Amino acid sequence: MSTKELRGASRRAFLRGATALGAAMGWGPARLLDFIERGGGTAAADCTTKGIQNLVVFVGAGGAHGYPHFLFPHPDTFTDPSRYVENATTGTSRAAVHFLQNSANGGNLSNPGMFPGSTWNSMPLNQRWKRYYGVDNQAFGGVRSVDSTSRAADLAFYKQDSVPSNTAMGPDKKFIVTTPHTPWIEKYGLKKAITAIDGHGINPFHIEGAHSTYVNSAKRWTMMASAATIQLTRPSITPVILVGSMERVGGGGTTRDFYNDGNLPGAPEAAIVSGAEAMVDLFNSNATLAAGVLSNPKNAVIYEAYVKGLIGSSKTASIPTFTRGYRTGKVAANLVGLNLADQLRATDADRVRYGFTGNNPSKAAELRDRMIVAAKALKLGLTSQVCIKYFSDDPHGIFDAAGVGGMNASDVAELFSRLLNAFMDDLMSVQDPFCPGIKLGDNTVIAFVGDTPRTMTLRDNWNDPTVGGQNRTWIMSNGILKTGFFGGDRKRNPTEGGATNDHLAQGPGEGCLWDFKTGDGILFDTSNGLSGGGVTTGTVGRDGQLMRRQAGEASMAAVLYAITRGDIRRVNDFYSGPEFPAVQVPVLL
Amino acid sequence: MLKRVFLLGAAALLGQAACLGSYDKGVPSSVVDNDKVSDEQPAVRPVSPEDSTSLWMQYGDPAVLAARAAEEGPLDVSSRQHGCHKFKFQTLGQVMMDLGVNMSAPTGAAAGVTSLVPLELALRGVADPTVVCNNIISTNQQQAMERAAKVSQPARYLYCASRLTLGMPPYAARLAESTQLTTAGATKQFDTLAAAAIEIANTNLANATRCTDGTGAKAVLFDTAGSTVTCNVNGMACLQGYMPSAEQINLCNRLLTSGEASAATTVVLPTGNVTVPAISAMDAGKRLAAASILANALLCE
Repeated sequence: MSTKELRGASRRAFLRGATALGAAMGWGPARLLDFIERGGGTAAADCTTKGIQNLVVFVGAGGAHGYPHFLFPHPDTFTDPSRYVENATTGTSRAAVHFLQNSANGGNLSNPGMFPGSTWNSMPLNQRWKRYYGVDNQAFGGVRSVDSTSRAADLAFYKQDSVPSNTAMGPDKKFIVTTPHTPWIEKYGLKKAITAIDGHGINPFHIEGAHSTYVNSAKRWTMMASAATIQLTRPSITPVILVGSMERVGGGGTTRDFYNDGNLPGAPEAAIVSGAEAMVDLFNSNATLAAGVLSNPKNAVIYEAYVKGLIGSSKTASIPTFTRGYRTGKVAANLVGLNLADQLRATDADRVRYGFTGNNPSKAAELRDRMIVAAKALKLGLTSQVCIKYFSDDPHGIFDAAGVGGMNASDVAELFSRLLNAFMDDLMSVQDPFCPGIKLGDNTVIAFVGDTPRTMTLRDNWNDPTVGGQNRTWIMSNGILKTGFFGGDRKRNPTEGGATNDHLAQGPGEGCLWDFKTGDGILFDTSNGLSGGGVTTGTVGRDGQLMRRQAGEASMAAVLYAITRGDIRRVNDFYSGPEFPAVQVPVLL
Repeated sequence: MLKRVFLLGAAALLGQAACLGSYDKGVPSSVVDNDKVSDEQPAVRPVSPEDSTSLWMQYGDPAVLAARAAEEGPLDVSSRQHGCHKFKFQTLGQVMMDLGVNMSAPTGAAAGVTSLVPLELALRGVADPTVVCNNIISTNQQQAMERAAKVSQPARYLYCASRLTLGMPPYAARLAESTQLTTAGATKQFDTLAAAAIEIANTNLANATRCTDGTGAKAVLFDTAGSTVTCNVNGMACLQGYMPSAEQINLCNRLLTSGEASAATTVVLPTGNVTVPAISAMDAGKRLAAASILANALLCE
């Protein structure tokens, strides 16, 4: 390790600490740097110099990408009540969120017994959500609506008929909306708050994958493959695991195409498995499988003992510089005989901890088990990236009391909340195996991608189109990205309709993309539709979808920025779009 | 001398703790935690000097580091000694091939390539290397993945499918091959060598291309006299690259009689069941002996 590999604050802090110890021991800085590498090992050095984060991607395929709205609602609708409250007496809304619905529209759990201890059904509507101030960005910052009703709502809330610019508002004026179902933030604070970024497209609506994953659309380089390439500095056994059968951007292709459609040079191959049980099977050592040398567990014990004996009888066994390597070998002699299935498989105790113990609905049980196994694999350092597909249930009817496939809107919110909280608690309960001293949860980025985020502005039939046909990615970056929403949709008035589900239709409400430098909203002008030729700045229908693509690529680059802990130079090995400082928390390099 | 270095390290830690004890805070970051509602601008700032203790502690227990320094001796001495470095990926493949392990390239490898060594040639221009590796098991990809998860596969499959863990340098990602042994890498290497041991034990080095005597006779790993099987000194030397010590020969012979037999079994899979034959105690012992010798000999380059 050379001093060149240490950067910024870490470098200075590292040298300070090293010098303190070195002064006492009479060592110079150069010797101390060598000492740290030899003592702490490459993993520790990597923490100091690279600090690459893990990545967990939840893939809302087949229309399921709307569900994250129940956890992380788009906040800009929830300003003045004149924007979203349909019934002043009950306080209910036609916004597509579960926390403002009555029982008939999925506002209560359909089967409370499924979630022991839940108090959701007895919670008054006005206690089911709140504005959580202190975030970095408001999606509609700087926007003056073209709609007079919307302007009036802004006037009532902001005391001016436009939303103040993000550059003018302090964090005390910027908020996200949290509900009792919003995971992580109440327990871990704003470092676990969400960054939601709009960009890329949504057509065709339903594919078994995501439309939003290209970080470089021209080369078809995906965020996942790029992240995996960056993560190669983490020496895990299986760098990437894809759980569930998926498609490439735009549909078609194989699960591998979902991950690495453009054959990104240097990207590791992903392990592709069908479900939680198959994930477990990934980590059995070959030797312990049927017909393997160690398939009989007694032979595994013998093997371990004799390998250790042979190592101990080596002529170099007593040479100090071999000690660490031999110690690693002895650990490996044990691991190769282990059937890790027992350590990885979801147990009943895990399921109790995750707050959902049933096997039905099966889509819920499978997601739970996938998350449990993923957490265990990350804890053991077996992988650095897991992409988990979920549900694929196109939930147009989720705002009915019965919902879709055995779950209504409140059921889904309760389930996701429990699973995600338990998942994070699992990750926060241990240190990163490759980065001792940093909690695994503080070194794992979580992203939600999918085919279409659906509209959050109208619950009727819960349609797929967003205002500008734009997609959305929710990212938990561990403080590396600015929090809040960048681009999005909001209601203009409580009763507006727009109940069409056409692929090229404009979704209800008004929408915006975002300014790469300020984070402020850039309103969609959909007067020319959502597709078509010609270039007119600020429009969607005539810009050849350029703005959506650029914003989408930047959203994926933001994930990479989080994974690299702010190393934009590494991000730019994959991303070639405009700079996007609005999203980045500056990190001194 | 070692004790003195250790004591010095411990004293330095105590001194540091005494001087900087009041600096104990959470792990610092250039992003200030902002978990309250506030009108204060979220701060982004360099890590301040008082953060140094916790940052320092973050990267490892200094007591452990000091102990390691004591164990490995002064730098100016230890830096001149050999250490235990990771076996290079290509060398591993070449050694297995020399020992008679089947490393032939499967269907789908780059045109004209017949061997998996070096692997980058077999995978050159191949769109999906996973398919090439799976073809070692079956050209039916579903079947290949099922079998890989449930039934032990040959060394060449592991060498291909686990190439990154074994250390194949991903040059396209601008990364060189690591020289450092990791637990994951060593585990996968032992796993691969255990699979190779089956082939070596079955053929008794008959397919090896190295280790012939002056007359051209090949070394064997196991001598059989009646019902007694013993480890052959030359065969062991062939595996590990140097003559075994008496202790190592004894360990090898004991391994031959320590193996546990396994009954025949059928692995039920959706794409077709796999019948696994029984393994006798003697065969199990031979495999264990070969696997153990290889693990020890090829751990360090």
